[in-house]
Amino acid sequence: MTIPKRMSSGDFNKALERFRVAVGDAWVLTADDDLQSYRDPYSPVWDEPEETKVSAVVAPASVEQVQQVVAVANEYKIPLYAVSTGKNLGYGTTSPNYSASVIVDLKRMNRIIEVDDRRNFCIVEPGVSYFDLYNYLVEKQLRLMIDLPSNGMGGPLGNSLDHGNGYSAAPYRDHFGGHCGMEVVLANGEVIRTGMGALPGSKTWGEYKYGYGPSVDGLFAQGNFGIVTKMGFWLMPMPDFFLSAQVGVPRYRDVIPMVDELNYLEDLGLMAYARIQSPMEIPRVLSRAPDPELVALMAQPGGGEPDSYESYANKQNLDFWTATMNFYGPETTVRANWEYARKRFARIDGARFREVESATFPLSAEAIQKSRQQVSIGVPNLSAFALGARSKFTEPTDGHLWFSPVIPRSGEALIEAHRVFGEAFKELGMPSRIGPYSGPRTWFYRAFMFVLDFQCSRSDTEANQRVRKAFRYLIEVGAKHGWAEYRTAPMFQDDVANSYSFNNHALRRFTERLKDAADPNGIFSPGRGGIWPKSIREARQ
Amino acid sequence: MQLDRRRFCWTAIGSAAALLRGPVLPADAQVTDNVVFVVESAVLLRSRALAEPAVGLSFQVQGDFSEFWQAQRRSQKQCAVVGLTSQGILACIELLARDTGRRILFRAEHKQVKEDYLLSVLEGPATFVEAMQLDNKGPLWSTKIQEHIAGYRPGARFVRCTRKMPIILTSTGNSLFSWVLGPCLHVAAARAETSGEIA
Repeated sequence: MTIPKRMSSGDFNKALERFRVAVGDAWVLTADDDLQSYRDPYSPVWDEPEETKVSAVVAPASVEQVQQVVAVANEYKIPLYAVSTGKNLGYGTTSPNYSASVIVDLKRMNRIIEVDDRRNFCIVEPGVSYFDLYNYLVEKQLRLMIDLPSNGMGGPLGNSLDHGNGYSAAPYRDHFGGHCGMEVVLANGEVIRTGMGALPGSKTWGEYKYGYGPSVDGLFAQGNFGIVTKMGFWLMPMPDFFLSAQVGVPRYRDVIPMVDELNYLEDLGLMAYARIQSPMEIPRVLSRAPDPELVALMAQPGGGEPDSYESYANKQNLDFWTATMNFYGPETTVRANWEYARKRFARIDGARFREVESATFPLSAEAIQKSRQQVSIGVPNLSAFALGARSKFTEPTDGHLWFSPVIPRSGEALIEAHRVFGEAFKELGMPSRIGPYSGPRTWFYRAFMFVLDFQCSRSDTEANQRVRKAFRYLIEVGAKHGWAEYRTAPMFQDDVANSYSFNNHALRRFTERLKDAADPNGIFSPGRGGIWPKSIREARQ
Repeated sequence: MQLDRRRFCWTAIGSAAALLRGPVLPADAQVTDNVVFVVESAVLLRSRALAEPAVGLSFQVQGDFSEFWQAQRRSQKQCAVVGLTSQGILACIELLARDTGRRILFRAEHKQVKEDYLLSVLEGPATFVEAMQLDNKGPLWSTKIQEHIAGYRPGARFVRCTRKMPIILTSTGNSLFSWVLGPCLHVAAARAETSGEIA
């Protein structure tokens, strides 16, 4: 049994009894076999001393129960780590930053409070998953589309608070950017509402996000200032038609004009989300067995040089890059936008065009089954678990970490990132997780994210140690070039927060001052986002 | 004794399923109504080797297993799930357990370490894991296991042990995991009645 630090077993037992009174006996878990499923299944420190432990799980069913749990935690100074659905695989899931924390599992708070398909928003509780929300829309025949991440088990509230993202139009796929108002239990037990939710009797909680005065919503995302119990989200009206269409270009440096055109089209609102990939990377991503010649190219130190991939692509009649774009709207305007996009891309010598798939809304069961891009048409699924790090062509398959720095949205930056990170892998003497074939993600529509996957093992601790060392080195290398991660697992959050160091870490010192004032006992998620309460900061010095 | 596919399936799944005949399912419960059987390999799903241990509804979960996930989350019944899958699917099943008030009651990793040996790492209630180590020659092995697990009680101490067996089947090189997911809420209630304070 794990007991929170600086606490006696007697006091912890008393606190557990108080938790049981608050939420019911069945919803306080302490046995090792119950806590097993709260370990991070993708942990890079599995069974090592660095793996953070969970001392208990408490699952409240209402805001009032959350308040009671917080009151007990304050009284006994117990660290809490709140999770909504806890499915951010690759970013830590339910694993806390601070060992021996009590998990506050919000899965029982799973009410869909309001959905409006004329004003296009919803308000939900933390335990609502994407599957739940989708099923609700289908059942009620509401003409809305949800922007989804690749993993349908998660939910809008938790995903947005971890700065998650999706695949449709710009205002929706930045999930935190698309939120509108929240309800939060603070460390002193008070409940606040932000935006228009702060107005008693408000009619526009889900529509106008600023309310009046300073906006504090950002403190609760990747932060540790409260437990969010409700959130509003803007939703996209269900379009008439969806088209996925692709442009392919033949040369490595064609990515520069290609990205310029994508930026132009998206920033004008003519196209939504473009997936930039190289066909040479796709077999690995989609779990198909790659050509041995390609495997040999990718095995070169640092991922190899662009020329060799260009020769390979040319010989195989492959595009070097493709951009697969999503278009939503009436079919006539979608087709007109696609025609206009083709005209723009035609300035790139050798550009090729193809339509990948289309769908008419409301979606038929057959259309859903046929689609290979269900997340792009708002249908949650779990196909991601057969891809990438979970594919049979990667080893080990126990789990993965995502290294995801933010880089400028230009072809030149992409090329620079290939070079810099490729060199870093050479210096590490590791097989490169990046090469001239690696595409960026365009989830946040004004910047690129790179997402490099590192495999983790449950049995090979030395391999995990190499991965952690490489991960931390890449954070340093990225920061030296003006790039830093948008999101990371708890064990790297200090490293990432440290790279945002302008003016001697003035931002972190500011959030620490806020933390000490708002949560003087430091009960909420110590260390989350790199923010530690005063007592632990002092103990660590 | 060497393990062929038929015996491997029975050892991995059938014996795990036997765990359910203890107090996990009510004494009068029909196994066919209360147990879902999950396998990742289409070959194994079609194989007659599964005929003996397979019970209840069968699912193949591979690639997009949304249908299985949603069916389990929607189900009002706290049915048990017995599976033979990769670690990737098992990790997701553990998340499903968390969502649906169930827990992994037993897990075993089976890995071909040499050409002709299978190494199994068993993790579960002590009485059950001990029973799994019995000499499994003869037709009464499953009966012996059931006798041993009769003493199993929810919340029992988990132990881990390793067992090595000669095999005559081929392996892909990746580990396979057999596991049992079982109801948990009544377990918690039962534990609350019997457990004392934490030492």
